Amino acid sequence: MQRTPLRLALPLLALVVLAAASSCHSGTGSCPSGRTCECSDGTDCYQGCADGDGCDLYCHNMVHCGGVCGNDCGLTCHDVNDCSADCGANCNIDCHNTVSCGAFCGSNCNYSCRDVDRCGVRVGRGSNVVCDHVTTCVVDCMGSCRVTCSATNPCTITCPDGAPIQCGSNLWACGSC
Amino acid sequence: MNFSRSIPFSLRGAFAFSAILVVSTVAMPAAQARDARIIRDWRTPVNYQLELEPHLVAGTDPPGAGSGSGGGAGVRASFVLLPDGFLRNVNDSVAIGTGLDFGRYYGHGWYGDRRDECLHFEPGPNGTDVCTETTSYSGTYNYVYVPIVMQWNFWLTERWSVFAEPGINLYFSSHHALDVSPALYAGGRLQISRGIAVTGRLGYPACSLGVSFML
Repeated sequence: MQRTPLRLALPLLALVVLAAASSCHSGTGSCPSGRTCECSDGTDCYQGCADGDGCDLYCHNMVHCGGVCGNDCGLTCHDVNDCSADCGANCNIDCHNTVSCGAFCGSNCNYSCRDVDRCGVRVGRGSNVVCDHVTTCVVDCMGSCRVTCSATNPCTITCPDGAPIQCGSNLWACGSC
Repeated sequence: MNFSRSIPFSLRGAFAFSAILVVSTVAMPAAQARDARIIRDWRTPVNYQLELEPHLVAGTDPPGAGSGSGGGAGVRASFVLLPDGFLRNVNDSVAIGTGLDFGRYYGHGWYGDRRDECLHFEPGPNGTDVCTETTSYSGTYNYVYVPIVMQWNFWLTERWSVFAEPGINLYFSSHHALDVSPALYAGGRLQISRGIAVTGRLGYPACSLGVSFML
């Protein structure tokens, strides 16, 4: 029987796994990067960015809709029951005239929630969140952030280190003002 | 876009030739009759330790969030573990195979204008549900596969051999995470010169056609 080259096989296997892990970056969904993809009139629609980053996702006049995107994305949602957004860094998210808006957003996120019954968002450092005419708004800041709450009660803000500080009549911040 | 336009011609050709090769290997007794049968030469171990096989791949309906059809290229390395195989009285051998395959899939048309759906929700603040992964019914997207399979070979004649390959496929299709799917292949080889064979493989998640170098 010949000697089997297992000592070659295992390092090669590790090498191909590492190569594969570092070679692919794309996203779920069908919207090409750099394009605006719209979804409207129906029951459910959840869009994703096929290339991972840089999509502009738009949905309206539905029951449930949402978007999943990497970095540098725009997501707009209105006139739906439930709207969700999952985005990486440097995203602009606008959710208005809905029953609920939920979002996970990375660093430097601009999130706007207007004329909504229930708004819940988790944002990364350097983010700005606006809750305007929202029945209940909950903002979880994972780093420094600024939150504007107007015509919203309660507006609950959690910071990674202690309570938020008030910077103005409607403006709070995690970290410094 | 329909299926026939969704993958390049060369890959459709590779897929077709791969199917022909595998079927003819299994079902063509005349081909086996022209060269000497060695399937009963179970005392003769295989005379190579490593099979290196660059190949083209083509597949449809990939695992995970993607859909549609596509193709690409890759390489497979199969290391011989049991030169005498599992069976007495049969010329078989067993190898462990791994490799790297890249595939680009085209979802347009396979499901028409079907809307994407949410695959996974996570609880968000204030009782909300946040969708974190969607389907990819249209558009184009990339896959990287890392198969890990047991290759069970049957050496039928001096020129023809067949194999079965059960195992798993690690795959990367998005920025979310590494995932795993089952893998199952059936294939055949036609030896064209000493240590070199044309190898076809049918199965999931992708078929392949390539050239094997027995080292």
